[in-house]
Amino acid sequence: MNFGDIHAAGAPILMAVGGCVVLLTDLASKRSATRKFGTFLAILFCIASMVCSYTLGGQLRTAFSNGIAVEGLVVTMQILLAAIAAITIVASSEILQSFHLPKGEYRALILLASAGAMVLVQSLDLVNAFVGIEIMSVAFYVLAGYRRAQAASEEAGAKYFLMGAFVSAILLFGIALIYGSVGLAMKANGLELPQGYSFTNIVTISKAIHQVPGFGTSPLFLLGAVMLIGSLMFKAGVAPFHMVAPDVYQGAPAPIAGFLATTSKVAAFTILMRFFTILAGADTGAAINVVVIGLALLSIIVGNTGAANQKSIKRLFGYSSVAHGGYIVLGLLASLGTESQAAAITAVTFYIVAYAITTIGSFAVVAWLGKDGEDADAISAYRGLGKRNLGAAITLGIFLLSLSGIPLTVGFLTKLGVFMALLSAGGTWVAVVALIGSAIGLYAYLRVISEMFFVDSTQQETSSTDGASKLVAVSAATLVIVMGVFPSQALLPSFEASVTAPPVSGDEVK
Amino acid sequence: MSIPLNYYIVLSMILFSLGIAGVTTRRNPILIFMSIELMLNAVNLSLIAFGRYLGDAGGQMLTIFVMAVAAAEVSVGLGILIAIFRTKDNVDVDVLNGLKG
Amino acid sequence: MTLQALLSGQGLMFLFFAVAAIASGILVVILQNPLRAALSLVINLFSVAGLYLSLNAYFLATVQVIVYAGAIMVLFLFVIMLLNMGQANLNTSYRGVRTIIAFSSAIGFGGLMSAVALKGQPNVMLPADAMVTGSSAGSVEGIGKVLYNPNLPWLFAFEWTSFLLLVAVIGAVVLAGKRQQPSEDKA
Repeated sequence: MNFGDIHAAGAPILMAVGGCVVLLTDLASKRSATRKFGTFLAILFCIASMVCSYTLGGQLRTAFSNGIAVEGLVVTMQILLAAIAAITIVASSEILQSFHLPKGEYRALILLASAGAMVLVQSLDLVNAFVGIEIMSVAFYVLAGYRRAQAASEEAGAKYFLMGAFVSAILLFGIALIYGSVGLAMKANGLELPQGYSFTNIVTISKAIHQVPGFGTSPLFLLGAVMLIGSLMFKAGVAPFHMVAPDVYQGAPAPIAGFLATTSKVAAFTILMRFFTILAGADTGAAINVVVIGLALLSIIVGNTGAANQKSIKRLFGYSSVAHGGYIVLGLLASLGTESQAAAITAVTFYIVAYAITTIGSFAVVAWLGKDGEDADAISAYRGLGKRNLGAAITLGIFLLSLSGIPLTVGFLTKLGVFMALLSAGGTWVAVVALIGSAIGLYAYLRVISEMFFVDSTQQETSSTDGASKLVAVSAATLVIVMGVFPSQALLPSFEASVTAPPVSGDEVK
Repeated sequence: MSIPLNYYIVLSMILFSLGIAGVTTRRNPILIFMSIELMLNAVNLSLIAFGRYLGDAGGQMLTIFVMAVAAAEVSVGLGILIAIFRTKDNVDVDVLNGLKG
Repeated sequence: MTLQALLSGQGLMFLFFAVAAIASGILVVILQNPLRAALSLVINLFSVAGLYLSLNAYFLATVQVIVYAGAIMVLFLFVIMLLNMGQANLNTSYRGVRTIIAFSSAIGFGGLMSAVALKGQPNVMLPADAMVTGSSAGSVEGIGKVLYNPNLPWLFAFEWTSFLLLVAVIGAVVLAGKRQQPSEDKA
């Protein structure tokens, strides 16, 4: 262990230390004096974490006995995670104030959940991935039920917890089966475990897949891999365990819902990308492809049809997150083909970043239009919004158009990227089914837009006090348009550059 | 004469499936949670068995982390359940139905 | 061969604990009374601890009894009693038929899963020298030497586990602690 190792793991360490510092300063000082100071301190640590990630650069480095590996993709995702945490802390000041919720604990939980997500993102050993995902999930259960004394929030927390713990057990069984099958296969074929590696290391698994004949199709490994992939996809809110996602997003306050929806997706899909790179080009039979295609299409269909006739806008975003999870999984599917891999990874990375911006923004609008911290949840509350509050209506409209994938918004480009990668991987019929799903989704989003602009309402204008959410929403909407109109100049090259170095291949093990 | 590894794995899979059956058929959140503990227990058994037959310490290491995670989940999970029962005064998972579309 | 294996001393130990584990596991799933289900889970944990012993995992067998059966299950029992779930407010119209279907399908599912997963897997036996070389691995010393070795990947995960416990502590305090100023709460 040396400075280089600590630097590589610096981003999550800074977030975790930040969580402790925020918690302790909150305990040590008088409540009223520290309100602004605690936010400031938390954001300072988020920025420090971003800087630490940024200074790592794009080259691959492993640390802590090959427990973690950092390269361009991981750096991008770590910066994104820290940014999401900072924005959430800024946007939550209103709900903390209105409901008299403990503030120090809240900021500490956000920072620690982010730290867990970063450990998950950078982990090369499944044991680190597991500990990271549990730090993230346990913090999420608490955050989902954070607004106590409100039945919906508590219920969201309880449902999320029961489903999450169940899926964690399945994830663990998957890891156990992978551990056993890799170990048995390597032992039976006389392959040595490299010094400092474990059987759960992704590099070791890759070695077993690529060097042991028939291992990729051995049922013990496939069962483990399917359990691992399926449960990680649940953590990202993909069907068939999707039922809790809309419930949780409806029950939790809007800034928390935005945090849960984005952080879980960023973290889980990044580790899935890494796991899929070692499956690419390997002979794993049809089992994994079938499972992944099934989950993706199920999510797209269920998400888009579920969104169609919602009365609650947060539920609509919940179903939309299920559907978008499905599109990202399609991108991952394309990354299983060796030729389409590079394009697919770029497309998925871009999709995740764009989805995070759009979702944080949409939930910020919901908080912005609310009153006294209560979210403007019912879609009927948006009737005639174009007449009352044009700015808010346009901002929300931009997000809804981006979610449905209309040109000139970033949502169009991301969908296009995924579909192109899928077509080059030969998944034409999958793309067609996904397009049909998108058409259903279009109806759901356009319905809200028509409510806002083409229906008159006698509702009173409510004057909002939530300036922070307004700021977040408007800047996110600007980003959505800028990234949608000038993709090539502004942002796309940096994403492509960040993932050209493939994470880790099996050849590295001597 | 020792026991083949597969015996332990079959036993672990049976316990794991029992846990799944408990999660899907129970109505009471605490009993669902106990079934989840049963599943974690099955995972630990298979990890230790694999580790023993591979002559590798990794299985026992993973088991330690599973136990730590189980402890963390129990404290948070029971906290959530206590909070919700204080509000609702009922113990059936059927009452978790306030959130509907 | 298989029968012989089960009739040896170690085999009888496996058989005893395996039957106890499955029987108590079934009771956890079907018993009406949460208290009895929790106590069945304790028996299950003890049986599995016995199996750990047969696998030479002495330290983990102890931890299983002390932490799992001792601390975690006491917490469960405490909550069940605190919420007074022992008798009255239980949903007693439990569908017995569904229970039988559920757990026979569980055994079926477990059997199917094992049959599929272990198809083509050779019947791995312990190597002859494993009794000697492997015996120290499960002791406190053996575990500690591996877990805290900076050249092995476990130390990093171990350090992060402390943050997991911190999150759990914060969560428990926030969720189950005293509610702040209910009179001012606008909810």
